[in-house]
Parts: sequence; C-alpha cells; structure tokens
Amino acid sequence: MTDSPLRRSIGWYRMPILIIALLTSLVFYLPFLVVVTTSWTQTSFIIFPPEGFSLQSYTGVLTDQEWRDAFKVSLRVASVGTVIAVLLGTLGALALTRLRSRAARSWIRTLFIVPMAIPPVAYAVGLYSVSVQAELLQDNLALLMLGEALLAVPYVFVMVSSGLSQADPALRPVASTLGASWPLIVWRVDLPMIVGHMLAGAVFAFAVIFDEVVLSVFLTPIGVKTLPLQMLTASQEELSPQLTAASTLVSMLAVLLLGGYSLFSNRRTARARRLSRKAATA
Amino acid sequence: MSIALSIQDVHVTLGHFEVLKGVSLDAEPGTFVTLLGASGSGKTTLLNVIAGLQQLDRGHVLFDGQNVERRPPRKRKVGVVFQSYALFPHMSVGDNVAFPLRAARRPSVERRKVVQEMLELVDLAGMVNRAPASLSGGQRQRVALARALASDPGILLLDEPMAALDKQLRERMQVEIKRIQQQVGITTVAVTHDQAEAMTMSDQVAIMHEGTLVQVDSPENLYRRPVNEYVASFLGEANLFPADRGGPLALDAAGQATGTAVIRPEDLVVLAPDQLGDHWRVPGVVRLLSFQGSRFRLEVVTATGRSVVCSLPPHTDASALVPGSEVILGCGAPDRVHVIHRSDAGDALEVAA
Amino acid sequence: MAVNEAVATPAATRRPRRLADGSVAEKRWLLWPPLIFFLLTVAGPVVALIHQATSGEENAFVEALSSEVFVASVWRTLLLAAVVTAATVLVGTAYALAIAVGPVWVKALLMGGLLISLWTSVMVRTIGWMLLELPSGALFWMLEKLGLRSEPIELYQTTLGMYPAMIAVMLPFAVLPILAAVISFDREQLNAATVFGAGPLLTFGAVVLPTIRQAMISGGVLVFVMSLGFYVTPLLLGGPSNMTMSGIINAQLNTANRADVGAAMSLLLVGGTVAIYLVADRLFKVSERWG
Repeated sequence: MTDSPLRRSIGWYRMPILIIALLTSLVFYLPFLVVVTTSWTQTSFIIFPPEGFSLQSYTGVLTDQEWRDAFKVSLRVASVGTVIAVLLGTLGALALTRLRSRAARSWIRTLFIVPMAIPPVAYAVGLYSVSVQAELLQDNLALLMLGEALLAVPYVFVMVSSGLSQADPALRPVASTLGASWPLIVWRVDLPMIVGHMLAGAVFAFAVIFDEVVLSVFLTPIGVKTLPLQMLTASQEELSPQLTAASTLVSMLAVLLLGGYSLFSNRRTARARRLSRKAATA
Repeated sequence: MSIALSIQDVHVTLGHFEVLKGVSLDAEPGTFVTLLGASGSGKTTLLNVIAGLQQLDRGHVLFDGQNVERRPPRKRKVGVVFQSYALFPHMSVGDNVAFPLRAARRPSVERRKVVQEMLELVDLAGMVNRAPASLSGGQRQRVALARALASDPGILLLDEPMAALDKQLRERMQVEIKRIQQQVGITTVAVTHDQAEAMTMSDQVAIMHEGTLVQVDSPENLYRRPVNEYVASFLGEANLFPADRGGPLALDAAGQATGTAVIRPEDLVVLAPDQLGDHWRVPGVVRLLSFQGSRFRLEVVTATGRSVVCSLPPHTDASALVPGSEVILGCGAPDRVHVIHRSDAGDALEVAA
Repeated sequence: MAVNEAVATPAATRRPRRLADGSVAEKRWLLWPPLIFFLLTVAGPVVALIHQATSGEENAFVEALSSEVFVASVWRTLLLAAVVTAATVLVGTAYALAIAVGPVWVKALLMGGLLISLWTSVMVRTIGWMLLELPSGALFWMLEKLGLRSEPIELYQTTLGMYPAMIAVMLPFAVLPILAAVISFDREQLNAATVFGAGPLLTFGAVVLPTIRQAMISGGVLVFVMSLGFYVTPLLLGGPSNMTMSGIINAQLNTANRADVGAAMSLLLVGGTVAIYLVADRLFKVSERWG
C-alpha cells in the first residue's frame, strides 16, 4: 500500500525523487545483468554483448576441480563461522537485556557493532601476524574461520536484539517470580521468541562470510582458496566466461536461498500478524 | 471567523470496505458537534473527510455553502487537534504554535504576537521556549489546541482529544476545551467514543454506527428520546422492555409488542408489597447491589434471564436487598418512559442492557 | 492509563524499559563467552601487530608516517570515503523516500535492486563493474547503440570509474536505516503539517528531514567508516594510481616485504577507523540505531 500522507506531503518533488531512485537502481542491476549475460557466450573469452548462447562455461566451472574445491572451502568456512557468530551474537543480545546500567548497555552495544567498522585488510594483517607467531594456527583454516566469525557477529547481534526489543519486557520477571531459574528462562522464554531472528541473523552471517574475500587473501594456506578468492585471482588474469558463470551460479544460489528464506519468513510474520489481529478483534 | 458546515450524502470506501454509507450532517456556525460511536463506526474517517485528508467517493462537503471536496487540505483553513497531538518534537512550543503562520508566510512580528495570544488563551503563557517533550500530557494538548487555532481557522476538528489523558485530567480538559471553544466561538467537530465526554462538551451529538449517522440531537434529547435501541443502550444505562402504544408490557406479553420501551435506571423503583396495584411491574431476583456515592446501583435478573438495572437514592435502606432476595420493580415516572415504535422494517434489536 | 508520556516521543527513541537486572551468574554466562572471544580475536591480532611493528631496526611508525606514498593514500582514502558517504546519503535518502511513495512497480524494482546488492557478493558486483567499464565493455556498447559515442571509453582503472561501483556497494548501508526511519514515520505529523498549510518544501524541511536526520547520520557514519577499509573495489577498478590505505598496506607486505611497516600502517588504520567510529557513536548514538 502506498503511503498517502507521505506522498501528499512530498507533493511535486515526488517525480524527481522517483526518477533519481530508478536511475540509481541501475547501479544495482546493470553490473549483475552484465555478469549474467556474458556467462552464456560461446566464445572462450568474455565479450559484451555475448555471442550465441551456450552453457559451456557453466559445465566448465562445475567440472573444474579448482572451482569445486574453492566452493567447498567457502562452504566449510562459512558454516563454522556462522555457528560461532550466531552463538556469540545471540549471547551478547541476551546479555544486553539483562543489564540495567545505561552506560554498560551502550558500551556493550558499541562493542558488538564495532567489528563492522574494522578495516578488513588491516585486520587480516593482524591475524596473519598471529599465525606467524603460533605454529598451531598455520596451514589450516582456524584463524580464517575465527576472523570471519568476528566480522559477522554484528549482523547477528543487530537482528537478534531487534527481535528481543519487540518482545514484552515483563515476560522475564514474570517467569522468574514463577520460580524459573535463569537458564530455564533463556531456554523457554527468550529463545522461542527470537528463534526466527536468530535464523535471519544466521542467514545473513553466512552470506557475509561466504562472500568475504580480504581475509582469505591473507589467511588461506598455500594452495587452498575460497570461492571469492578464486574469483579475485581469476579477475586479475585474463577474463574468461568461466568467471562470470561462477559468479552467476553463486549469485543465483544466494538469491534462491535468501529470497526463499525471506518469502518464508514474511509469510510466517504475516500469518502471525493475522492471528494476533483476529485475537484482538475477537 | 466561523463557518457553517454541511456534509451531504458522503460515501467513502477503503479497499472493499464501505466506511461511510451516505452521511449527512449540518452544523451552524459556532456550534460544537461531537461524532460519537464505537471504534470502526467511521467517525474518524468522517473527520478526515472534513479536513480533506480523506478523498470521498461521492457526496459533498460545504463550508459556508461552498463546495470544498476538491480543495486540498492545506487550503481549507481547518484547525486540527490530532489524537497523538502530533506536535513537532524538534520545535519549541512557540514554533509549534507559529507553524501555521510560518506556512502562510506571515511576518515574524505577527507570529510572535499570535503565539503570545494563543498561549494566553490556553493558559500556557511563559512556556514559549519549552520543548514539547518536557510538557505533561494536558499541557501538550493545550499546545496542540493553540496551534490548531493560531491561523484563525473556520472550523476546529478534534480527533479523540482525550484519548491520551488520564481520567482526572480528561474531565478538566473537557471543561477547558468547551470554555476555549465558546470564547473563540468557532464551529467545532470532535470525535470520541466516550459518551460522557460527548455529553459534556457538545451542543449536538451525532451517533455513528457502521458508517451511518443514527441520530443527531442535543445530549438531553438523545438520552430521553433515542430513535432506536442502539442509541438507547449506547448512551448511558438503559433497560429495554417490550411495549405497545400504551407503554411497557408485562414480560410474558412480549408477543404483542409493537415497540420497545426505554426506561432509565433512575426511573425504576423497588415496589413494596402494598404498592403493587395494577401498575406495570417486573419481578426478579437481586444479583448485585453496589454503592456508587450518588446512588445505589441495583442489578436484578428476571425469570427469563433478562438483566434490569435500577438506581436507588443513596440514602435508601438497602439492607433487605441482599443477592438472591426477590424484588419487584416498578416504574416511578411513567411520563418519562420513551417508547421506540418499531419501524416498518421491524429491526428490533435484542439488546440486553 | 498513563500513556500520555509515551505518546509524543518518536518511535525510534522509545525503548522498552528493562524491568530487572540479571543475576550475577546469568550475566557472567551470557556475557563472558563473547567477551573472551573478542579478547582473543581482537586483542590477539593487535598485540601481534604491535610486536611485528616493533620488530624492525627503525621505528616503523615513524617510517610509515614519513612515507609520502602512505600519507598520500591516507588523504586519498579520507577523500574517497567522504565523497562516497555524501553521495550515498543523498542518493540513499531519495531512494528510501521513493520506496515509500512510489507506485507498486517502482517499489518492487527498487527493493529488488537493494536485495540483489545485499545478497550478491562484492566480488561479483565488482566483476560486473569491470565488465561494464572496460574500454570496449558493456557501457561503451550501450552508448554506441544510443549513438552517443564512437571511440572506446576510458573509465576502467580511473578515479571516476571507481566511484559509481563503490557508491553501489555502500548504498544499501545508507538506504536501510533511512528506510526504517521513513517507514516508522508518524503519519499524524505529516498530516498536521499539511493541514496547517505547509507546502512540500516546508514539510520536508520542518518535518521530514528532522525526523530522518538521525538515520541519515547513522547510515553515513557506517558508510564512512567502512569506506576507510575499502580494498577490493579500488584495487580492481581504481588502478595503481588510486591505491587506498588498504592497498598500500598490502603492497608493503607482498611487494616491499616490509612487514614491520605494514603492521604499523595496519595499526594506524584500525586505530583511526575505530576511533572515528567511537567518537561518532558517542556523538550521534549510531550503535543504538543498529542494535
């Protein structure tokens, strides 16, 4: 439904705003369309507009051991990183609701958001320096996973705390006057309310980690590459349609998964809203 | 400047829902009209139609005889007090009140003068530089009222003006708003679902029900002579009994009823055994007796399960009226009994008051 | 029913009151795991960086700050971040408003673009920009089709070519908070402005802008801070003459083989960025918007 009070107040400059926004949306669509279209060319080099139509570069990518390995590495890193990030981000959001002092709350909040601001290259250099000191962390993906998890914590934290802020703040005291211990309250009162937000945070964190390239530049062991790193390497060599085919595949996968997820969760919230409205009018 | 408002056969549909189904209403210059109805009755939509914030599908809105339904809201010269007051939080009280003048590009000297006058009118002189957030609910409402009146509008619209106030403040502000309205002499349309508020403030009350105006009349007439059962039970407590031309019927003669008698609780009395005679009466069992300061409220259940409410003077000896005891109620003022004659459609509502 | 206090406060600043402080054990178990994790993953690298930076013979910090290439890259990065921030906040405001007031198809198109940008990787988008900007790339093809240009364009690996891509990458971070503010707008305030005779410009200046300003600042701060760490997009699209601080750091490690100077620069970059964020956070309460 279009917002009529806002539309009325905006008046004559609604048109310019719409035009600016539509033109701006081109910076989102154009690069993506170019990537997709160049991937189906019949030539062995990238050309725009594409010549003919073939899926040869797709079969090429899917059978290429290097691309497949990179995809698997990324899956592994993103899975482990997501689990860590969801766990810690959720704990942080829960802890935030249990602090009364304003100052403490504001510091905790800042602490959990600030990783978004950390410049990835400098952070990667730091993690790399750690691995130079500690042999245990060399030649494996542990540091990469930890580092990516840190970068993803803010997204989980933001989503889960927005979920908690919608919850009725009286539920927890009520549960505790009924004699529930705090672990039971977390398990039976808090978690059921935020499980949807945790899932959303997990999806977001996974996407962030899966796509992140800078840390892998510095932290992958020799011969191991994550998918974005493989793309970065390929983009600095001669551009081949395999690169755009791989890009298209991973984007399609992301759009399908994330789009599917948000459709699913939208339907769930819509149903919840309908139910609560019914309950309110009954 | 105060205008005559005329609304003629207004229809509004939102989505698939017909919110207003042909509403007509007239208000003389300087009168205070309240739209009273349950939520969802369309009263706020009607207010928005007058303000121009709601497009109408059919019908007319006239200010002093001139069609304004095509006039955009900012050109209508209406003053509105919104339900949330909608004070601009980042502006001072003075800037809020001056906003309509700023929008009309009036010189700042004039703005300052009007702000001063308006704040004096609402008893907030000296609060010019305060932030709205630092005011109490009642003060915010006064600021909203001052802002609504600042550009000397032709009509003042109040959308649930008391909704955000607590009960004690409500009663004070009702009187206050009425005083200001009379002092300014401005035509005013208010929306509320609170009947006491409507009765206190208005010259005319318009009862809305499901998108239509059921009755428009003075508060007293609405109470004494409701046009149907809905109005009768919506406004104050009412006991509804089957009736014919002669008045209320005995409960076992309901089959012969051609209408409904409305008997207010204060017109019912408890009959002593020697007073029975052949007057109309209702036997029943006491369910609850409560003392409410100015009266005893006696609730009686008849053999057919109907609940009847009766007001007794506060100095009554009520010791015999324990729950479960049998009583007989009669009508103490037969001339005040109002009978709603069933219309041809025969839409007698079965209302348990 | 004393709701009067809450009514006039805008929704964004209204927070549910926490009723009780948690027990000590509760706080310990909820708060310590993340804090320990932060300590390990943040303090560890920082200590390692300090160790690395002081391992050389000379003072690596002095060397870094006296390096003309590095100082130039600092200014370049700051300028770049400022330009990207200004552009994303301005365009992002229009974008968010358009989503709120546009017809359904415009809304769908704009949301779709935003989601594509959020869901696809920066790598993929940067590759897309490369293909657009190559001398005989997609952009040239389009301009040629429109009869606007006949010789290849020189955008690839120029400063001008770098900006649109970076703005596109950062735009969602500006649009999302502003959109949230626009959607939770108090409709009665807009109606009030209209009813009291305000035209579009006065309404925008007096009502719309003050309400979304906080969100614009929050989005802007985040975009600025994230832009300071830009690496991939400038590397691929800006070319060697547009090296950001991140690019220089990388070069110190991989080409110049001066790990100590690289570490010092990294410390300066992290420290500077986090300091800017913390100051902005104290000033504008950025984190409260997000968390």
